[in-house]
Amino acid sequence: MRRLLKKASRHFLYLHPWQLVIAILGITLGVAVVISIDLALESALHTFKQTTQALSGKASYRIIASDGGLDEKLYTHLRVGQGVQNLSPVVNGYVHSTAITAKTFKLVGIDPLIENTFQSAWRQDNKTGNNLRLITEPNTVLISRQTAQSMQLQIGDSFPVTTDTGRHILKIINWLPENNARELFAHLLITDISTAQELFGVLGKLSTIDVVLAHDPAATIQRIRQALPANVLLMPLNEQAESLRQMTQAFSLNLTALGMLSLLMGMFLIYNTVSFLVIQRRLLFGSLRSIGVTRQQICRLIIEEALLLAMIGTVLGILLGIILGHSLLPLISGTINALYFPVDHSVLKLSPLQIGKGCLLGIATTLLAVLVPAWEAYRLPPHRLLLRSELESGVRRFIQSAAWLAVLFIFLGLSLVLLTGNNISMGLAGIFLMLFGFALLTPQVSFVLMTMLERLLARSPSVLVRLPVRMVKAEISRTGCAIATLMIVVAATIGMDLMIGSFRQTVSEWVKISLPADLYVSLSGNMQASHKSAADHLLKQRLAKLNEVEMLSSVLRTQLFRGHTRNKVSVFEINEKSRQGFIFKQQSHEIWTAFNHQNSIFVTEPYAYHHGLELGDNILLRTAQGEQAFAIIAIYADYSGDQGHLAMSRNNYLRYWPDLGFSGIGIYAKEGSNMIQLEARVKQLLQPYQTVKSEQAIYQLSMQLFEQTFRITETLRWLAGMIAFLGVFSALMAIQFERTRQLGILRAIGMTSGQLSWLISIETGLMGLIAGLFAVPVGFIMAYLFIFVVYLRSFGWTLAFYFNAGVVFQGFMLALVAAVLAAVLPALKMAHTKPADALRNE
Amino acid sequence: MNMRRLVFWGLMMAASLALSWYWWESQDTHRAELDTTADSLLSAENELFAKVLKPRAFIFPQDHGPHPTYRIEWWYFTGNLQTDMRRKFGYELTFFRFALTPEQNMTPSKWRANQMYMAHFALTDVDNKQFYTDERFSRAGNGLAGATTEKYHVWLYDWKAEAINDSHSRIALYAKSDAFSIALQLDSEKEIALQGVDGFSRKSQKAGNASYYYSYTRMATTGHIQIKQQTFPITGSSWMDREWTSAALSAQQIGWDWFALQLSDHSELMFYRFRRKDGKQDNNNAGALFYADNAKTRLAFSDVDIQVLDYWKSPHSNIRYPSQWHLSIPDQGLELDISPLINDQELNVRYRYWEGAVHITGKKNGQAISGQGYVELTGYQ
Repeated sequence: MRRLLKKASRHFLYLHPWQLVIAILGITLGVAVVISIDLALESALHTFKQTTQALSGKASYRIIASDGGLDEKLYTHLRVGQGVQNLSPVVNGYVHSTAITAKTFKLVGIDPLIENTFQSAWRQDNKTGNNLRLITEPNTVLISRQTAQSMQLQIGDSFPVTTDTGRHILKIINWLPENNARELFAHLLITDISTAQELFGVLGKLSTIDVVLAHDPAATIQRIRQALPANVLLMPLNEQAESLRQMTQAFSLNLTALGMLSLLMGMFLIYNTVSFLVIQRRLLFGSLRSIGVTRQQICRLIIEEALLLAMIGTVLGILLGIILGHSLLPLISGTINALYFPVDHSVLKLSPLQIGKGCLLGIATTLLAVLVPAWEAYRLPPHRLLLRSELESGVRRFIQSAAWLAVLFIFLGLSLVLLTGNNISMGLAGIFLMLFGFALLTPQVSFVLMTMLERLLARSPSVLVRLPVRMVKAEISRTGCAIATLMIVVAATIGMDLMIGSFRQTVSEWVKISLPADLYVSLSGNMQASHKSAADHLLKQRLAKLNEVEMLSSVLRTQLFRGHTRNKVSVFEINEKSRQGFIFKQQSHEIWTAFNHQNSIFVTEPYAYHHGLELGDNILLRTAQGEQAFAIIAIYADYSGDQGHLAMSRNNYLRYWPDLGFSGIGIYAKEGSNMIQLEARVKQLLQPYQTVKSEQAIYQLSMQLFEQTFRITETLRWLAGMIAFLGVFSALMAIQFERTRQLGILRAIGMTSGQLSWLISIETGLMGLIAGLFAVPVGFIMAYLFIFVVYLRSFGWTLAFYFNAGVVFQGFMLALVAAVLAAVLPALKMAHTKPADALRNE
Repeated sequence: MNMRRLVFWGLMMAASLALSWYWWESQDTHRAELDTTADSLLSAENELFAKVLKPRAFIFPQDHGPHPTYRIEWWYFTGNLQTDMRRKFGYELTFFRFALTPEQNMTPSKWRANQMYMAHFALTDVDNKQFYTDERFSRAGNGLAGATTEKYHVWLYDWKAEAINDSHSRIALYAKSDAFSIALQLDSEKEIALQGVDGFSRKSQKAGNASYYYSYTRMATTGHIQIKQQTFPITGSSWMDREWTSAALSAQQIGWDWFALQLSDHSELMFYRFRRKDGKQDNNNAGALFYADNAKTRLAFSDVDIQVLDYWKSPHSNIRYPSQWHLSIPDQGLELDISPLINDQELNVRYRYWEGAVHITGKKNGQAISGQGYVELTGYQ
């Protein structure tokens, strides 16, 4: 009997290849999107960790300083004065090469003579003797053989690079080792501390000191900590990696949510297909049951078919996911680079865990999706299985229960969103529950809408007007699901478009307001460069002397220690005009006097949100004189990053910390000055690595960066949309093919093929209309939740909600067009099918 | 010590060069593109380094400091120590300086250097038959390692030998490893002993194959040593060698045995002999006997006869080292039996060798004599 069943199943599936392809495609795409996001995210983080390991080896601690860097004398003090062993001094930065192709290298300056206990990957199978040349000869480097060859360079060759200090010629004296860290070395140059200091102009400074705790860790930690000045910290490396992971958690969660949305779309697709496969075989199953096949056997058959589809789809999905991951990786790394910390040229890394996750997701989703159709086939007695009307009447009862369930889901989702405080995952889960609820509600909404339309059109004499409405309503079990799928994807589109639009608008206004000056000079970012401060002050004086300049403002972007963490701090020198550059969310009275003359501080909105800070709270910052309290006197809007930062006046800053010069200088021109001329004159005063940009140019750049960070979101949304469209398409096609006989009758009683095409188009158009109509409020709710729940929880940003009628219209049209497009193929096919053939169909 | 150590380190550097060269070659097939500076860095011969050609006048404290134009230089301390309870220890603390290039590239970073330092630290715990070793490497830049001309002061990280109160002949030693450390004060009981001819120690007839070499042959030693959690106050006697050169080994020489012996009649004997590939005696073997009154007798290869009485095979390296000697100097009426305090004093550091505390019994002109000292054995395979 089992053989018979299997044969029947195989034969049936063989006759419906397109249904199979679409079902598999649904699983494949859903799994692929989830896998690719996971893969790209994990790879970016993994690369960061691997690079750290390859460079720092067995180091478990790292000595870091706030900006201004570590004094190289500290290293000597630890080694010579304190006798601390297993320390590795590091000076690193980036250099740009234009040899053959433009490339950015991470250049790491090390001491080739440090202890072997570090076991850094770059030192493996390298004899010290070779690397000693790095110490004696200026501008010598080690490079990976592959990279050098791609630049057509050999050992002994030289190539030019540029850094903040200008152009330099580097000489290759050896290859980096060709071990398993090789991939990470593609954009790496290793050199000696001395060369790195000279290239970056950071004489006397180190970036970090790595520490291996080999003998008596507690005592060594104690000895090191006692020797460190106030602006320097000894920090466990794994803690650093952990904090980076946490930093990107919100970002990953949001991406994962998008991936899950795709999977949800895939699930609808599978559900559609499998239900179709079940419904199509009602007669077959009925007959089989009549001749003694048990319901369990039928049920098992359906599940086995689904599992087979799931397995094929999952395997393909994982493969596609890897390919997709490759394209997502640069996007994700780019965003992490822009928002969080530098990840150097990530390498895609696939772990068995990820494959396992993909398999589980693909198979679990499929099983979940076939639950309803399998139950359907299980539940009904043989004679009832044979009746189509039975199915529909069952479905109508089901729709009512679904509506109740939908209300429950929406309520649960809303409660989850409202009651879970700051938890991002719970917020997202709530939104998913609500979405699912709205999807479940869709058949009921369609039913109600169609009933209303039916009443409206009751007087119409044309059957061609009334029939499509009745058809949607009569086959709600099939149409309802397609409408729900379409609704969800359109709602997601509307929601995200509104959200991104609101975000864009908020950021745009914020950027405009926070750029009160006419021109902005960007200075060297290298805070450790010797003489930077003096050079910066000189430049500022020269700028002030220019005729067209009315006044200047300045900012220094640096990092200070709050407890054991480094916090970004903007140090402002503010004039009357630049005061307008802040959008305050909360502020105390007389903030400007306090800002300049008291131990006070501004915090950005994300910073306040993440650290639970309020107006009047004190922030303790480390200074050379111990910890100092700074009172929060204002919280202001900032969308430049999601970790947030602090802002203090230059007066305040210079009281406790060394002058590191400026990161940027704002130029306020006199009324009626020629900006282009002024820009040119300013440019003449600058070093090659310094730039001057107009306020408009910065605005454009900022918005470009904004679009760039959203590119990944957009990409994923389109993927989800594509899956959804496939779902709608397959569902609609299934419906039309299923009723070939019905349509044949219509043809047989005199309907022309043109009328039939019209009928089909109107029916699917109606479905699109319902989906579009219902998607508008759902999309609004989603946008609202995204802005005020997800984004606030993830990033601490409050965005203004901007309504955009265009977006709503577009979404609505998307639903309509997608539905009508899906009707084209069946309509064409029906038009070309002879009525007799169609009637023979069943 | 003399040529033998000089030759040893020259040999070691040549060996490391050969190894690097081999590695380099195996890594890179583009031989033609190899930079010539690669071999100039550590090659055996480089005309640009300063040469030791003739005797010179030593000026102190300047000559206690570094001579960076010469390729190799060292500050070498060994000593036999004991506690009040007569528990015996031996120690070695040596600082080596290598010039990686004849001239330094003058660039602004304090880390740029052409001078590299290496230090070896060994402690022999005779009662427990334990031998502890450690080593350090660093460039001379950024104050991490170096030596000064103002006073006796050489250091590598926290290991150091430094004059006490700017005295020429009182030196404090400090070295600490994870499990063991020393903090010693050395007080020379004798004047500086110039080896060879007025401190010019010739290796062969070839010009430049020589070193500048002087010693403190007997330094009263007090202080503490620490092994794991135990601290021992100790007293004893140390030997200090200073030597610098730019010369390297001859192709025939594969290693040497060196003896630095302090005898109970307040005299000291230094003698080294090269071992040759062909097994013949090397004419360059030489040494000196320093009497209690600072008088000195130079010893040529023919003056001294050394018989190996026993061997010891290292469990670490499987190398067989001589472990007992009979040394006779007929002209001086001296017959000495020399044996290590413990056999296992093999330094398994980056460049392996045996250097250990020894004790001496024997006769001088028929009278019983005893003593202690250090023996160095290099180039054994």
